[in-house]
Amino acid sequence: MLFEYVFLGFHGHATTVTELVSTREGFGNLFYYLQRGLDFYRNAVEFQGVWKQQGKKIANFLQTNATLITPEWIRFFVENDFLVGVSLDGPKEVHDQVRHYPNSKGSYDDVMRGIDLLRQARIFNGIICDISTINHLFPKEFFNFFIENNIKKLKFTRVKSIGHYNDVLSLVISPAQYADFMIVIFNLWLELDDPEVEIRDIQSVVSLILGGNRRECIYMGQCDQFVTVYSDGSIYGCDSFPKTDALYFGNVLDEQVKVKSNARLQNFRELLEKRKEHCRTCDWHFICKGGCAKDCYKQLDSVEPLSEVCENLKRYFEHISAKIRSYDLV
Amino acid sequence: MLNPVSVSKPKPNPIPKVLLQAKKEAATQTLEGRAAYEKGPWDKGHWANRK
Repeated sequence: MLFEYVFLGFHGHATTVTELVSTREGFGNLFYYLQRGLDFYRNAVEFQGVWKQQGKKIANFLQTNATLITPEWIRFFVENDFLVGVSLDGPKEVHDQVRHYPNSKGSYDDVMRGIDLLRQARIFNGIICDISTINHLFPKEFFNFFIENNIKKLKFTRVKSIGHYNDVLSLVISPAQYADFMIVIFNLWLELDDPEVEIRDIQSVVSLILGGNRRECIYMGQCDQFVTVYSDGSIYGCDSFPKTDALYFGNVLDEQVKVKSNARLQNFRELLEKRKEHCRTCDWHFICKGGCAKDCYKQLDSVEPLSEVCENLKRYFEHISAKIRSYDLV
Repeated sequence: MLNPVSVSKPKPNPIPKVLLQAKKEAATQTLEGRAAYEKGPWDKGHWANRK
């Protein structure tokens, strides 16, 4: 197996999909960012058909702001088993501050309309909510907002500056602020005690503490398994490092053996191993496995994680662990 | 003579359903390993949209 998860970022061509799938031996998890017209996805699905007939299992996931979802899109998604996640940054007054059209009109109303359409079709795959300087002090309000709107599959991410969007530096919060936010969210999740509410980061940590093995990517220690493919078929590492030369692994048109033996890919894998080794004696290594290659390190070639990130991750893990231990579950 | 005083023990907090469910899922994952991962919540999109 070459890569586990493939993100078709930015302006990928449909033809790259068939090449991607052809390099895979079994299961293919393809994630798209919705930036193309419907014809692109129709072509992609048609190309996939060839490989599905040969027994390959392909799962399609799509992340969108949902503002342009129409009944026609819905029909296509339903017919082709797509699951669709939506980016929603909380209540209208907050969301519209950070997600607006060029004319400054907020997108909240259109996003919620798209969510309704997806929900009616039973293909809504939850939301991703960016946590920033604008909203990090309001975890309770945010949690209640989502629950009141019957949005129960949640993922909270810390805004980070990765260089390919507009300047977001003024929105970036510290690891401590993010940990504070997530600790309150964990408490609220526990207090509500609704098994239908899924908060992926929290449930990863809970699962791992309870002896399970379900992990978010940031706790896998396998950043080499996440790649992004661009319109020319070029394969780069995780999209947190957009088009970073040191993570250019080849092209979907290359022979598989050539990509597998790519020196940059080998270097990256060696780096990940060094990081894991460095953290081996930490009590929380069994959860974070060296952590997110982007969030936890100063530079791409750093072996030692940032102490500020570690301290706050530990504080977050310790809080959850203490609560679980209080019920004698471990 | 003093009347006996009945002392009721504080009831322990019930274990939240979300933790019981997580415990059950963790046990299943351990037993079934990779097979559970591939046939499991992935197909329903549980952990699907990472970004």
